[in-house]
Amino acid sequence: MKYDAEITEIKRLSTDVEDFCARNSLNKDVEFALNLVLEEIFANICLHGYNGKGGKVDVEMSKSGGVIRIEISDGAPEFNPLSQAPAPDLISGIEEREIGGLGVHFIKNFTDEVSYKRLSGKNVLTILKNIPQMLEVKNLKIKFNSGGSSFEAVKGISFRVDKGESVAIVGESGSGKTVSAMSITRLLPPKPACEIEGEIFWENQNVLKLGAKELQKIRGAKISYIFQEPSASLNPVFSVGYQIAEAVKLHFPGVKNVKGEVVKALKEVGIRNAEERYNAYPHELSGGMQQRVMIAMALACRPDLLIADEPTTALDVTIQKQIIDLLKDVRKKRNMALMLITHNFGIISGLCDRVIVMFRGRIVEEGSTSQILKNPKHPYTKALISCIPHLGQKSRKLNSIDYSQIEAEQ
Amino acid sequence: MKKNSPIIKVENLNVRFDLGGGLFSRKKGEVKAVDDASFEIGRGEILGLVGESGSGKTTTGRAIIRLAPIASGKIFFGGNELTGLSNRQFMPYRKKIQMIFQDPFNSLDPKMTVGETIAEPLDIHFSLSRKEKEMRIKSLLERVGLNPDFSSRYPHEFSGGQRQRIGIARALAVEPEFIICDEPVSALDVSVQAQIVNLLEDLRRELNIAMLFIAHDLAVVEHISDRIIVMTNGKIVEEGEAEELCRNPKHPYTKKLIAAIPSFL
Repeated sequence: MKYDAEITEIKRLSTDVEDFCARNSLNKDVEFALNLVLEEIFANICLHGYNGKGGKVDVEMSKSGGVIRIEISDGAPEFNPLSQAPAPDLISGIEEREIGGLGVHFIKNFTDEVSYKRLSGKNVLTILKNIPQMLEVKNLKIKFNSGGSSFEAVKGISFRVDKGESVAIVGESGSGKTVSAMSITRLLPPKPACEIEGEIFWENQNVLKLGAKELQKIRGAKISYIFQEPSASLNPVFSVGYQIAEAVKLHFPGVKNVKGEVVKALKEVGIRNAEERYNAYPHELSGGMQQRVMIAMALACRPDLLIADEPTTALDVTIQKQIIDLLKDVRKKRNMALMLITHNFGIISGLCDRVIVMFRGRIVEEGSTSQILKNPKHPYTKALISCIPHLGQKSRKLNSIDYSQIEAEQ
Repeated sequence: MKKNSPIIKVENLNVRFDLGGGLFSRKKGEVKAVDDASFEIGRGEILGLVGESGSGKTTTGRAIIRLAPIASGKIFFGGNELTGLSNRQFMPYRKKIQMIFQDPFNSLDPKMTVGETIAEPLDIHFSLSRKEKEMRIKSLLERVGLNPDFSSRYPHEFSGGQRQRIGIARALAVEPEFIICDEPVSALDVSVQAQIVNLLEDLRRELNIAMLFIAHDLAVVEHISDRIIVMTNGKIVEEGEAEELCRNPKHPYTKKLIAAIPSFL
């Protein structure tokens, strides 16, 4: 075909755009708009000939947001999609759809700034998108010291969680996922037992440098946790209502009808007879109910980020489904960000937009949930996914992870 | 599979627990933990038992080895009735029937080395010289995929999956014909879960041990079992060949269990 090379090239660029959007949780409209711009560039190179040197989608993240650059290397003559020139007739021969300027029109709607430059023979389209900054972890290292020996549990990881985004951190026991999450609000033991290096930014302030009072304003109020074992996280000698009320009183001293707030929170997590349950003690509730109470407690302060550390591991599959559905529901209603920590790939689809895979203190793979589940790249991710039994695949032998091989490949 | 020579046969088993009661108050009622359950397990067969917490599946397993009081019903092992036997008469069957527990953190004595843990059943059921016992322990550890030199270590030095392997080695020590696996993989990571499931499958194939595999996750149960029984509220509501039962569930409760399995994509 005449445009084979061009089509391949543009497909590659399009995948890059998709990856970028998934990584930075840009919404689908931005992705669509970016693809339209790509189509315009494609039309342009088809029109003027293509030298096969390719282009690239590049990305820079800054504190204020992200910059996407689409570069088409020399060969394609100067082309400014921002000029909104009407599509030449030739283009409609390539594809039926009318595209000239359309992408730019779209991109202007969804981004904060678009500019075009001709840089050393390259056509560079720069798109600035302000991505609201919430949590950013940079080169985090966590080391535990005991006696004379020390163990580096987290060996330099960087990731971000944006407003309203849902991210899963997947890894086995000992991969460092839980300690990474705990370090975000400094729940780990102080020095010298535990040393934390790197930077953790919450709304542009470095959590690792905050004082106790400022930390308290973030803990619970901005970032809440739910843990694996609900029975171990609840205090057995106080009623569940009292325990939720405690959190409300601490973070919202102005609230008059505390009990009303608590009952509302209990209702939100699907506890029937919430008024009666207010006075129930943890041992009077089942595991699933206890986990709902934990979620109610975590949500009572309307956090911007909920960190759920293996929230369903201690529960039956049927209850697990209920809790996952509940998390989906509240996240949608409140536009709350969620960080789900789990060892089980099975529970993340439909709940998380993005996945970070951790192995022995490092991030080995990162991408959109569908990309990771359908097309995992790293051998460890592949191995972990193939460990999970599926209904109707009885004859398949479950995979055992060959760690030495994965270590060798790293 | 080999249905003509069942190793375990349970007939109309009932287990009841008293409610309320306590030392000074009157009994308020009773829970039918197991309500009229009947099933068979063939030699070398793995029977899956699924149900939620409180469905009576664990109690069923425990009743077979006398860890739960039987209200009525009969249990046969290889044609011999176990119910009605005195504790002394039951002794030889304790060697033939073994159990693996859910929580590998609680089911090992923290003050005993791995070697001592595995040696205990050997001391009770066999009379071996010290040398023979050591050899036996080493070969058992090797059999379950652990380093044989680990026998002098304590449980806290091991990961969850390794501890579960120790539990399996302890169960294998007395050469059982039947093992009750009570949620053996629920507390483990998926990767470790896969290893333990594979190990149990290997053991069944090589040693022809029958198993009752109790779990709440139907996907795991289907994978390992030949047949499955589904329990809810103490009653067995469905029984069938593993693949067939998962493909064509009849009872609404089985359908609910299948719907709860997270769909992958």
